Amino acid sequence: MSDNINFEEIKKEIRKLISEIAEIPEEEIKDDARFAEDLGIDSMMALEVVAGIEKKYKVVIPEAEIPIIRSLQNVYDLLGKLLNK
Amino acid sequence: MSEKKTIFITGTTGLLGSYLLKILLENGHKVYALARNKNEKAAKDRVKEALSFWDDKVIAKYSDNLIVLDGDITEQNLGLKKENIELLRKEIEEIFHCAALTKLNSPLESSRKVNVEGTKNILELCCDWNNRGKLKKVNHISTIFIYGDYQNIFQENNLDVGQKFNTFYEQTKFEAEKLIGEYRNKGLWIDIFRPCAIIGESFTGKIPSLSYALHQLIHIWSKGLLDYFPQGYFLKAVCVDELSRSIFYISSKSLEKNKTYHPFGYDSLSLVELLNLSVEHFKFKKLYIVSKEEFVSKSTPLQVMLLKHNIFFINTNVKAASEATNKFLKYYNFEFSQFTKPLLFNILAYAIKTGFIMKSKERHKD
Repeated sequence: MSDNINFEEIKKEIRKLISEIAEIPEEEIKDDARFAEDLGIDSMMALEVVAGIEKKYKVVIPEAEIPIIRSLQNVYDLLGKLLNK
Repeated sequence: MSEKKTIFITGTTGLLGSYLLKILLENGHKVYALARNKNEKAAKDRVKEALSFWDDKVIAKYSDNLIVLDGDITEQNLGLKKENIELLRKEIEEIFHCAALTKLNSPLESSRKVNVEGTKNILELCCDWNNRGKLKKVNHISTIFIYGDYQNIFQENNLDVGQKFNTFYEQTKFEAEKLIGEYRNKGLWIDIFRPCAIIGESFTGKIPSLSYALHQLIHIWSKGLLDYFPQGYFLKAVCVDELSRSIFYISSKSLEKNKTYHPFGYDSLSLVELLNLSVEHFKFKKLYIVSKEEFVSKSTPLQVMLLKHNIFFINTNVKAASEATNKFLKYYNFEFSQFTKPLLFNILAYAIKTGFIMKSKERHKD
């Protein structure tokens, strides 16, 4: 995974993964969704979601970044950064 | 089995409160249940829903004996109308106070509001119902986890042993017990029950929510989010049906005032055994069993954090004694189950069957 990754495809995969882990229908997960306010995902479930993303894309999310992940956009930004490293 | 009483119970939409309510109704008691309207759902419907989860026939069978009152323990007089307060004063003989904010990560202010101030609001009313009414006894549901970081044997008659707390839940339930001491001195008969981690029904594995600690862990396993798992973690747990029955037995039979009980068995649930069973029977991902230190060094910060919010809360250096409570129960032929493979299998099978946890075939493609 590097420069030629199709990020739209990745966003789709992430929405699917969130749907699987948090057991929320995929169509309810919009790109601008916030975990707690829009999806009803509590802090523990949010950790599970991000751990799922970490596993799928074989990246390690630094401890300092964990508390700032509160929305889908935060996930996209962070993953974009890690995959392009 | 016992004389019919008129009982007031809080927390009836919760895990223990709903099961206890079922048992009280099945035993012929008249019950006033306090509940809040929430998410546009009326208190009455919420209580009925919680009861039906355990048994869909219980409402139809015992509806004459169940009165749901819309109220909130955090409000003065529990948010009840004056005429209802008067009615309860005249009728209530016994109270089960099960309502609590049990989320481990709740802030101090909201935990204290429910667990301490809510208890105080109830006990204030109890003083009046005891002095001018029929109230004889209050059964307060606390938690064994008030032992905090204590590193010795924590007995039924222990409370303040100089412990420090891991969560505001533990701290505020401890504060509530301190408060109870003051009201006992005012003449109220208050028995305290300190359950440990509550898991599903022993014979079906049923549980209404995945938000409880053990099910969170099963969820994490089921999604294949870990590679390693630390050995040496044993969860002091009790099945919701056995816990409710034990509290009911004790409250019906106990004559000694102001006692504290530890309603759970001697056995602890081995998390590695549960994990192995889930790998063997439910195709969960096999994890490497390592020491806690190895787990922390080999896992990612996020994987460590998943367990920090879960089993790392477990104080592995304390022994929660329950001999006195078990001795009392044994006299009435009641014994808690051991965590045998069939019981653990029920817990896992129920979670998977109901879709709390998805089957693993789609899970580990990566």
